[in-house]
Order: sequence, then structure tokens, then C-alpha cells
Amino acid sequence: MEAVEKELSPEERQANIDALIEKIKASKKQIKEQIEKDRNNPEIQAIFKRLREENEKRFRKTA
Amino acid sequence: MKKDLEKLPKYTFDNYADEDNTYFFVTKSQIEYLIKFRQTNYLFSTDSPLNSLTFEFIIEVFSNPTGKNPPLDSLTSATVAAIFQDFYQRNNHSISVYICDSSDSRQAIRQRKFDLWFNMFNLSNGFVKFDLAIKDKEGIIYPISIMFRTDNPHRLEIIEQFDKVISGYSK
Repeated sequence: MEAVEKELSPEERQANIDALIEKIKASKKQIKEQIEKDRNNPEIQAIFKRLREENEKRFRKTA
Repeated sequence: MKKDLEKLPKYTFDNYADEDNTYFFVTKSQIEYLIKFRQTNYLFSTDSPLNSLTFEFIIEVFSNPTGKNPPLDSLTSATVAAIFQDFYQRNNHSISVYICDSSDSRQAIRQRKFDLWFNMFNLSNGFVKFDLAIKDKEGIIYPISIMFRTDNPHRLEIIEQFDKVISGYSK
């Protein structure tokens, strides 16, 4: 027998949406925290340093 | 006007093989950008096969020595599009979720810019984008977009599940 999906009330649906919004906010907070960690990551600092140096050469040539 | 991404000048970008699939590039104004495809489990149910394929697409100014808002720069837009394509070359069945930051109430402006970017680079040629929005109890609107390749074998299930979640029919 096929499962019949339960019809939810507007209040139940809003409660699910509010729960989703809370999860999104929690995820955004975690992302910000990870980016703060990235700022102190020497490997990431080295990648940005190399990209900055490459850019300086490239745009100095074309200036 | 649609642009052929392959022919456009772009910044050099690099990829860091961390769990957030982080990409980096620097503009000619020395503004540093970081782009992440962070695996996320809040959209689809944890027992859904879609869950492990879903990534939040994040664009972040990492450092801005100019002290001003980042200037309009065609190379930046093209680079973001190239990074998007690069990620999908490695993860062709992935689903990207883009949720505009709503903390300063400028989410509608961000959404319009994002739409423009998506259409400009002809990403709509190989990708599908669905835009929906959810509203909280205070009436704040959160626009949510999902994107995936047109050849994704789960495409019908993705659309059906996304609509269910955004309509409040799924936890």
C-alpha cells in the first residue's frame, strides 16, 4: 500500500520553515567561524600571497 | 547579454582540498576572495540520497585593503563562474544552494545580482536554477536558490524535495 502524505496545518508548516531558518542561521554562523580560522591558516595565507604576487606581475605588465 | 566564459579574461584561482572545497583568487585591486562549496545537511532529510550531494555556495570577501566596497569588475564575475564550473567538473551530480545574507536586509539586491551573474555567463546552458523564498514569523524573506547540472540523474527528485522543504512539508 502506498504511503499517504499527511496534510499539515499552516502552523505546522510554518514551524517546519522556522526550524529550517534556524538551521540556515546556524550554518551561516559556522561558516563565519570557519572563515575566521582560515585567516590564521598559514597554508591559506601562502596561497593568497602567491596569488597576490602573480597578480602584481600580470597587471604591472599590462598597465 | 550572454558571454562565452571560455573566451573571457579571468583571474588565476587556486583550490584548497579541504572539506569545504575552498577556492581563492585575488583581484587587480588586491581584494582577496574566498569561495566555498560547503557540504550541508539542513535542506534535505538525512536519509535522502540528495543530502550528501548538497553544498552551500559561499562567496566571501576575505580581505579588502581598499577600504571601499569592491568595485565592479568583469574579471571577478567571470572568475566566480569559472570556479563554479570547475567544481562541477569534479562533482557533476552536486546540488548547490545559494542563500543570500539577510542580516542587513539587502537580500533582494544580492539575489538580483546573483541572477544577473548566473544568466550573464550562460551557466543556464548547462545548469538549472530554481529560486524560491521562505518567510519567518516576523515576515523576513529568505531567498533560496538551488542549482545543478541539467544532466543530473536526480533532477526530478531534487525539484520535488526542494519544493516540499520550502513549502514546510518536510523537516
